[in-house]
Amino acid sequence: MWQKFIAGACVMTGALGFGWSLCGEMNHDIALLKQQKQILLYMIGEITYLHRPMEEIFDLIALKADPPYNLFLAEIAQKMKERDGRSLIQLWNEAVHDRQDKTELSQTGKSYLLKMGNCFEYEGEQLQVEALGLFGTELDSEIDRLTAKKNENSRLIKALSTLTGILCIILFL
Amino acid sequence: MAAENKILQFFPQRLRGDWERCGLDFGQIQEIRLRVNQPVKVFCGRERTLPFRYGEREMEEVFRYLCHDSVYAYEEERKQGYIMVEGGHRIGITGELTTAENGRFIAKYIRYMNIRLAHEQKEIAGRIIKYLYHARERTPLNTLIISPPGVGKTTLLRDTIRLLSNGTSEHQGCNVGVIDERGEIAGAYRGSAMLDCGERTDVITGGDKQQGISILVRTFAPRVIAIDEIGRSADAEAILHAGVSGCRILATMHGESVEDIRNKTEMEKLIHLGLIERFIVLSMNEQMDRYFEIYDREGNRLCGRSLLRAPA
Repeated sequence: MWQKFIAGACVMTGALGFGWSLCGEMNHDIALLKQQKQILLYMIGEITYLHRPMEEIFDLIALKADPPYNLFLAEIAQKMKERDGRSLIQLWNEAVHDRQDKTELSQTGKSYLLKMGNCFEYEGEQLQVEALGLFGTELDSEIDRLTAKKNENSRLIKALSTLTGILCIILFL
Repeated sequence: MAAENKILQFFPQRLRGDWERCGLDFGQIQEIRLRVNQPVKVFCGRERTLPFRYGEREMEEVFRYLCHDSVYAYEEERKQGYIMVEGGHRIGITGELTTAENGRFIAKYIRYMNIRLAHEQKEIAGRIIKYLYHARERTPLNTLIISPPGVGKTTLLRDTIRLLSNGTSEHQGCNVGVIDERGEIAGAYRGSAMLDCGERTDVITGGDKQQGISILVRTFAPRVIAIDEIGRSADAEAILHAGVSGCRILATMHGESVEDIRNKTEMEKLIHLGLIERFIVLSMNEQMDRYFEIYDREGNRLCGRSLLRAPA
């Protein structure tokens, strides 16, 4: 009899563990997107208030941001300073693609980082700020969507794992 | 960046090949003229036409690259018609203008650029500096450097600032405040002087002369205030304000001679009050040799026409 309870408990724990790991990945994605949102707000502030060029902004944010964005931005700023003739968008895209193996960045994080790169090189200050703002809205929606999905999945996994465990116990009785 | 590659810093990758093939000596180039659909011209003592030209797209690309892909950050400079880049080089920009706020204009389509390269020349003021101090009090005198455009006023001004600031074997260095409206004196890039203006020099970039003088007098206690290209009545007022505050003035002005300056109504008050104690008149011959003459307040010649150059 006790073996049946242990088997049921194992099934429940396994299912919960799987659920947690799935939610953990989603949490990581959400955290990455929230960091991107913070970076975006900082950029908008620097552009609006001090009219700083992007190279300087990246340098400043690199000091404040958490990994993996601090290294990413420091690398872009450094490459811009080298003035090797490549445009910001080129440098940005290359740096994102370079991170295929250096995966602290998830696929979602990377895809949004690529999208952020397309928001640069606008001529007017207002236009630049609005382009970044629009991307910020997109980020917000994605964060909301992921959070809702995470909560839903979390509830579903918890219920399913409990039910599966109970089912196992009943089947073994 | 190696000297021969320095010129590439102005151009995006796609346009660098032509420049690499030209094999120009960066040290010799004074100006690069880019005109839409016209051959690129460089001026290195004499004009040279290069075998390539840029279209509208290339002009926009060059401008964007010069702005570090942050055109929005250079809006003010764009309205003024020039941007400063690293190394103290000044790039004039124009094309089709459109009205911006406060009745100012901004280049909507940039089709013409003039890249003026800053070349630092140290010690060219070495032979002049002794005339710019009071003989007994050993303090700097109010000085005006006069010359037509392109002769080297700003270069001489920069070296004079450096010598006043660092001091010489005969005179102690003093605090110098520089008002560098267009970033040409100090080659200021993002506020930092890229060209040597001396170790006791504070540089204000941007703003205007009145504001600059006011800030310097109130908070930096300079012994000398240096200003480039005065000419408006407001500049004369600002200089008087500095003079009243006990600062000495070192300024430059467009002109051919001391007489020429005396006839300018904007400067009447300054001249009438005898505020300017030394006039340095620069000139250039066809071989591009520069000469200077020095006059005192009354117009007496203190130093005859002499060659302006750094000691060998």
